[in-house]
Amino acid sequence: MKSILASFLLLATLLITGCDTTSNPVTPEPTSKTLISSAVVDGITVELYADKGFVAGYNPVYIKLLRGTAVIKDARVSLNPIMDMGMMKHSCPTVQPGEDPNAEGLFVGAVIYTMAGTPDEWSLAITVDDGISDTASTTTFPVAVVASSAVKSIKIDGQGKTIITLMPRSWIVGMNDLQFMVHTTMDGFTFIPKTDLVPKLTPTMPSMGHGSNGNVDPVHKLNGVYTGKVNLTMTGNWDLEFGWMVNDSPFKVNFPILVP
Amino acid sequence: MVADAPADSVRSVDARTVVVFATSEMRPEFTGTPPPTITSVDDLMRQGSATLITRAAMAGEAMVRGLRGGQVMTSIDGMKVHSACIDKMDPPTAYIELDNLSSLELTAGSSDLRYGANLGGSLAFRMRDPLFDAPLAGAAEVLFDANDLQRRVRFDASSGSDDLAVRAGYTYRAADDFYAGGRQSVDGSRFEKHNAALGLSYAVAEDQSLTLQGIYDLATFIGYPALLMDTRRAEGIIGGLTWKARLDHTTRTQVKLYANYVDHTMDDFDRSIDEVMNRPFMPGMYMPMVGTSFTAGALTEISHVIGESLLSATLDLSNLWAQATMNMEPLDSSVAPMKMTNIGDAVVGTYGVNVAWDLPLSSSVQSRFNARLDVSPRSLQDEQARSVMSGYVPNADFDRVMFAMSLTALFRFSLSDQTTFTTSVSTLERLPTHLESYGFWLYDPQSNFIVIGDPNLKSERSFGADVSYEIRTDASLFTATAFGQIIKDYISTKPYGLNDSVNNVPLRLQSNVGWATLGGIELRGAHTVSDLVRLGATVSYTRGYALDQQDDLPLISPLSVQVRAIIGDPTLNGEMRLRYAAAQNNISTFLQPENTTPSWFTADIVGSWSISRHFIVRASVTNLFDVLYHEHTSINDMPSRGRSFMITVRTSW
Repeated sequence: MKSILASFLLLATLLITGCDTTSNPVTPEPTSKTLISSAVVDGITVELYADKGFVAGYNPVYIKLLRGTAVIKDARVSLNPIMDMGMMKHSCPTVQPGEDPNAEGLFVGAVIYTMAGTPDEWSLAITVDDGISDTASTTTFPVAVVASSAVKSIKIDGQGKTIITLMPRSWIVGMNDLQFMVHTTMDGFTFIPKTDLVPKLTPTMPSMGHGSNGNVDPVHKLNGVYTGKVNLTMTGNWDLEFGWMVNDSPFKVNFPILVP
Repeated sequence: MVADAPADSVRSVDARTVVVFATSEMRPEFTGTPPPTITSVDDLMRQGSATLITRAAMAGEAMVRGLRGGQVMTSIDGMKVHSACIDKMDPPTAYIELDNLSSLELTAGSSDLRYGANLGGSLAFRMRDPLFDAPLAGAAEVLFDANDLQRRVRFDASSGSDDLAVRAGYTYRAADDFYAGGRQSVDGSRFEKHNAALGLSYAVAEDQSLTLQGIYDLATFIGYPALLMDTRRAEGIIGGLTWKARLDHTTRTQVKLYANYVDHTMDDFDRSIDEVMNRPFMPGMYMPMVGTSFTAGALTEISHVIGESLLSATLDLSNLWAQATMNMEPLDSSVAPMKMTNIGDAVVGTYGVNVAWDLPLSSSVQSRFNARLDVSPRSLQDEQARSVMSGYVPNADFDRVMFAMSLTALFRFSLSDQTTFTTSVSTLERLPTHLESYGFWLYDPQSNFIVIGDPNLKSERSFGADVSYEIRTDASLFTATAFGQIIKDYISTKPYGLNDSVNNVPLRLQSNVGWATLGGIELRGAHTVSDLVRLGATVSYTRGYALDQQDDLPLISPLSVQVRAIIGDPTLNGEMRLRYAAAQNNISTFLQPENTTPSWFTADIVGSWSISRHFIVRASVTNLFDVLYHEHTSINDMPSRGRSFMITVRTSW
């Protein structure tokens, strides 16, 4: 969990750092990620990777850029997911990869899909500015997003929609670090990290009728990321309730999880 | 041979140790207390004046003067045997049978610290050793009880030459559901178990012997109508190798290496779907639980006569490894199965030294001084269990070393040829048990709450005093005893409220709840009316109170009276026994909430006929008037047995 937090902080840092447009191709290295799709645009091969597939909720995405067989490490990459519901379109929160690839040459970002969808509905546009071409190149990948309960949205009068995402992790019996991301949006396309919540975490086992003790309510760390602790006393189905107050009115969303 | 030698160096001036022989055949006929009607280890403990906490038709948990659990030390030939079940289904006595035993030394008071620290209650079971120079002998016994169709079969065979002796025994016990008074069936109370014992002694030299003892006990089912689950399988393996030696005319020693393993599985698979779905605690799922305990130890005892005094020392080293888990299998297939660790690999060492000095201060004053020091390193080793518990007990110290120190002094004044006055003072300390320290999510079915252990618990320390006055004539014996102790850091449970989580079930945390007191009186009398008629009576009363919590201590027996009349001779005799217990209205309402219990009265009739040296028939009718009652120490008010007709036939050769 600490590594995930570190990744977040790194990503957040990347978002505010400058962009070096110098391209220095290097030899590609094999990656352990799952290739979702690839396309060639303006002579650049854009490969989209994920840990497995995409699910509703937080999804790390990995972009590999190739010119021929050489990996491009000097570029700026941005993500723009779109849900086309026919009558309307909307986007979802992202963590932009920025311009610093990891050791494998992958530009790491994240997409927080707010709902499940088919490739006819969800698409992920990836824009690459390698600093060589006059204009940035964009390619769009249709993607399938499998349903999950790791992301919740709730509409609050005057505040638009609030999106709460439970960060993925492998749950174990005992004390677990956990993270939530919280964004708000008024138009469905611009998502602003929510940084001023005072959440309360309430874990329960619905089938047992009890919760647990020793939990630590999440507190905001950076860019809408809240960290806390949850004590999962046994395996099985748990429910993590994330609650907060808005103008003395309580709001809460629930995240069912399974402790194997 | 050492095994044959009289126990002349095992002298004690403690007037409150009651020795009960496991079988009447081993008891000098009509020279001691009235003949016991003992058919089980539970009976043996009751005969020794213990009170039993009952949860089923067998496997009662012994209480002595209101002390229980870790406050009472139970040992088998000095060996520690630890329960494996977290629901207290298997006290150590569940894994032994009468056939394994020669006697029980029940000490109510402060003088027996040989085999472990306690707060004033000790049950020391003695196993039957093979005897040297004994011809081939055997015994077979069949028991049948009409109440629950209980059948018990015992076999025993032994033989010994001048340097080798062997003994083997087997007991089978089984019963259907028993009936309480008024023919009220107590469903789910059936049981079945097997017990086998083997002993082998070898005379290493004239004054030295080696004895190997082993017990294998297997229960294939024990119904617990007072609890949510039943014992599906309980297996106990108890073994020890003992070297005994008489070093000279004044010094004896013995060294015992032992180990025992207990594996206990319980579940609710025999409970009806309706019961499982509608019970208040954890409905809608089966919850099989497995617990194991392994204990290994080394016990060294040495006694040395110095002039008129006897100096005894015990080095008592043992280590316990215990773990327990619970699976939860929802009847709703859409709910994922669950698993919880109730004891996450607890390791508890107990390394004790006990020194006792029996010293005559004058021709009319005997004394005994006793000191015991225990060092106990202990830890919870399972990382997940530690992590979970740390959420409930902030700053829990999972790896710690505890110390306990106990001191006692006892004086016995011979006021005349017929009267004796005994008094003792003590300060005793006992360490928290592994369940109290590391148990997690343990259900208390009587008070309906869940208990979580506290690794940071302090030891209990008591300060106590007893006085006893005894009159003994050729025909009569009368003893009056008063006892009292005040206990510091009494261990019980308190509501858990460290934070405002959403627990919908009452949670309790094992806690040191402050000061508590225990006190009471015991009156015992016996009178020989004639060669054929003897009378006996006991009266006992105990009161316990938690001072800081202003609450009566739970599971304290009320005033009880027992009267016995024995008529006959060793060949043909009968006994009428009347038992009365007053209502118990001094109940705990906070520490462990319980119900009041109405008074009750029962009568038993027992007869024994020795048809020949080799053939004995016993018959009894217990609860003659078929009274529907329950003892106050019966969990969830489980009723006691109704009228029971029992017959036992024993043959020996």
